[in-house]
Amino acid sequence: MDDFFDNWTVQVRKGVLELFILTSLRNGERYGYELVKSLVALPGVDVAEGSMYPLLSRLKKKGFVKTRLVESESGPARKYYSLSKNGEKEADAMRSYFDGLVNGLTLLAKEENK
Amino acid sequence: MTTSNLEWTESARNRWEQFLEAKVLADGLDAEDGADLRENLTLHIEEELTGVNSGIATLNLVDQAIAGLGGDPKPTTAVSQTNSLPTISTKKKTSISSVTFGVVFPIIVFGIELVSGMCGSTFFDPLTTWFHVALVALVIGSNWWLLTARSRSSSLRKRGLISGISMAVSGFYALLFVPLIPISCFALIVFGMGLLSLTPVLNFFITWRISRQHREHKNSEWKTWWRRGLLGGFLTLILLETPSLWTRIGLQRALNEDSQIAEKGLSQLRLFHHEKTLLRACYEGNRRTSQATDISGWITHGSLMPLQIFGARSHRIDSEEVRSIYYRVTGSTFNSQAPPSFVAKGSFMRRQNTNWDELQWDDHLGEDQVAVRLANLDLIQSRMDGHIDSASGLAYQEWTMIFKNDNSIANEARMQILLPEEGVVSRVTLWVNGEPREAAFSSKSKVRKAYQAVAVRQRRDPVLVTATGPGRVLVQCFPVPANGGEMKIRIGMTSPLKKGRVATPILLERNFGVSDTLNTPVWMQAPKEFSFRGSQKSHPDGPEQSLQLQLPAANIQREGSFFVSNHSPAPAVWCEDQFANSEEKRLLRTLVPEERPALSQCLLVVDGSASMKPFAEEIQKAITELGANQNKVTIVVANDEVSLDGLKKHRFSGGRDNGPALEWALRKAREKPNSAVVWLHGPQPMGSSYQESLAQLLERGSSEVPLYSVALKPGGNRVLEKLFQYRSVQMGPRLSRGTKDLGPWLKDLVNGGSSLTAEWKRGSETEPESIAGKKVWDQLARWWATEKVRTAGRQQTADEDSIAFAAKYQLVTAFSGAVVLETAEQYKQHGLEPVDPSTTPNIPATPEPGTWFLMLMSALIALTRRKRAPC
Repeated sequence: MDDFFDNWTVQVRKGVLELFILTSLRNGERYGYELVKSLVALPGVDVAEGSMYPLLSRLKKKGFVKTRLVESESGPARKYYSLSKNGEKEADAMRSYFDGLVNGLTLLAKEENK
Repeated sequence: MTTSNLEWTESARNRWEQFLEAKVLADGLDAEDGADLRENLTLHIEEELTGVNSGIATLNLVDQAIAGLGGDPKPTTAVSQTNSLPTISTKKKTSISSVTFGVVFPIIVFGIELVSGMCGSTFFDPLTTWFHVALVALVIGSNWWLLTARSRSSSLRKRGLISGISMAVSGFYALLFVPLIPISCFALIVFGMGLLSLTPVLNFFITWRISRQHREHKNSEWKTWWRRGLLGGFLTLILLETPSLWTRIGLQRALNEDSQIAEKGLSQLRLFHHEKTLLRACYEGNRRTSQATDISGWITHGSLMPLQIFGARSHRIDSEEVRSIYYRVTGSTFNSQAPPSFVAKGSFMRRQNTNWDELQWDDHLGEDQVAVRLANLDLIQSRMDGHIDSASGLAYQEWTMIFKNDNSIANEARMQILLPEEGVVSRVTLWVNGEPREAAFSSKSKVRKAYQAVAVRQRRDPVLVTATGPGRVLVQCFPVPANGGEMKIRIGMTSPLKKGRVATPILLERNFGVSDTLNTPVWMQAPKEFSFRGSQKSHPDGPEQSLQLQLPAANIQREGSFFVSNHSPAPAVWCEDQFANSEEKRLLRTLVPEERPALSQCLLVVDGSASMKPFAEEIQKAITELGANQNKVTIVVANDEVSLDGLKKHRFSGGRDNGPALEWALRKAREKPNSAVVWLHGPQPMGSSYQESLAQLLERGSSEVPLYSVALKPGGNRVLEKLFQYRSVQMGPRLSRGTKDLGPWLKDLVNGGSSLTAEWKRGSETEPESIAGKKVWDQLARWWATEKVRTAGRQQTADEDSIAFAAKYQLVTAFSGAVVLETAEQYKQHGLEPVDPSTTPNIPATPEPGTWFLMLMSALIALTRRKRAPC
């Protein structure tokens, strides 16, 4: 039971992490460190910080995410991430699909309660 | 690659590059993606470490950052990076040391300590309770488990929790053994041994290393549970040790020379104390060392022992002082409790196969205290025989006892016996090789010297009986042979009937065991009817009466057993005094009425100890029953000081020093003529610092104030032991019926009234018998001698004449004692002479039926001849 649940949560996390990244960037541009820290801090997103960057690289490669490097005199340079047009569309589609899933699950739960 | 203000140490940079390389490899990225990932991660760590440690990226900080990123901060190979399981070093060298000092050595040391108590008998007992045993076992077990591959499949929280507890326990024990490191190292270098005492310290480092190995894996869950385990372990140890430590600290304060600090220490202990720790401390000084203590004792004073090497003063516990504190705190004597038990039985032994509670503890051998109770030394048989003679108003009882010693060394049996009221020991017998040997009576110092020489040095068979108070004697017999050996003795007691009653003797203190199943058969005989406790009546036995009954073990240790004769003593009786010269051979006693006036004042000193709590109401009731005369009674509560606030306001607790109150009462009583002091008390196992002052008050001044000692709860009385040679110190009633007897006695004392008093006369053996009343047994002469010794002067004296007089009448008094030695040579060597067996008191034999027939015939013949005579 525990092993099954652990595996399942790993699969779910794996599936929705990209949605989380896109949804986070839907609200505006964020630099990498800030984005990763905020996502890792979310309840249930129990992943190592280091595993977020390969995902960001993949989304960038797909063209859903744009980056720009901003130099700083006081601190290290920051790489800012933002959504491309395609990325916005993709984020909306993914969100819509995920909401549908959640609604379906909610309906099932209500029937069960009756 | 971007640049920042962050400065990297070389090792940190190498570690970071190593991590990046491993990460790219593990994720299977191509060159472009790999470069992107490297840039992103480097930006991340720079953001993370900027502003930390003045902008210098050290190896430690990088390791922490890597751990946060989910990597292994100390990768050995790229393969290990991909392993999701805890990475435990498998280097052969590390494993061997971990197993050796984390598991194998601790098991050996643990086993040795449990079996032999080696550390416990030398320094301190690390396995004080089974909880301690469980905690130490947990450390060894967890080390073993964490070193095995099986533990890797367990959850992080489980491993973290167990590891945390282990760290706390091993850390605690390592700290305990730190003071022994110099000695251990020295022993290791010089003698090649000492590793055992170093093992707890080494074990701590191994436990710590094992814990680190598991922590390497990651993550916050581990840390959380590890900390919880650590905290839980420490809390458990604190819970285990706090009561003992509190007691030790209180004890140290109570032993302080500054009386104010000592009082505070006493109050602290009375507020709360750990019974076992306090009891244990009572035994520690027996070994003339501060060591061989428990963990709390080691923490508070024992751990300073290694400093003695550098000339520091050693800390030594005085057993007597601690025992006094024990009594002052608990209100009961330390030897009234079973000796403390230990997990490691040998924690107090010096050699194998010897229990700690055998002779090595018995440093009172041959001395005048009952002291510690010895295991495996028991009273296995006991019987009492007695005779009541109502005509003379006297009784004689003999108590025969057989002791058995199952220890591997010979032991001395010691006891204090409470005699019947106003009783005196008049016979002592020891069986040597099955034959009874009678005692020699002489001065207390002479018989003690002989006893110590024969018993302690020559280790032969003697018995010593000396008085320790009014109606109290100390009996010592040694050796009760080892390995199941037995010793049989008999003590004979002469006593008056008090209002027709005589109580059986009881044990006040003892250093041997009495089984609950031990019954004492009691035989009592008398010429006329009598009863046991007024209810169990005697049976006709030929022309006399007798009664046989069984006293359970409890009844030879507490009040409640007595015989009653309702026949008044004859107004005039006489006897042949075998110890007097021929001109004074006949001793005549005539009872004459005497009027005693009411007391002008009665100072009632009530012991404020815990043992007296059950009697408070009864005492108050007895005073109320005095009616109009109750205003003559002043209640003085002895609570270490003098309290006149009455009994209701007093909180009976601990063991109180009665000295100040007795001193005050004796002084106050002198202010009015015809005053008396009545001391109601429980056991007084400790003397008082006021004893000399009390002796002075009893010895000096024109008025002689009687001091009546009434033990509401029987027990040893160290205060009386120093005062009973004074005539004014008198034994109050034996409260055979409990406090029921107190009221009438107090009423009689305070209100006064008529009573009978004895007048004695001497006559020649040639005088016709008919002029001197009824002839009775020679116990009358012994009783006369007892009274003469007691009342001749204000204070019994140790002069030769007095002692010779007491010895002649075979009496144990304040300054005379009795000793039975094994051989005539021993008696001669010590200037003693055993009594002639024909002169010892005896239970009068009941004549055989044939004898009765002959006596009847003789009487008839005499009567016939008298009738014929006028013819």
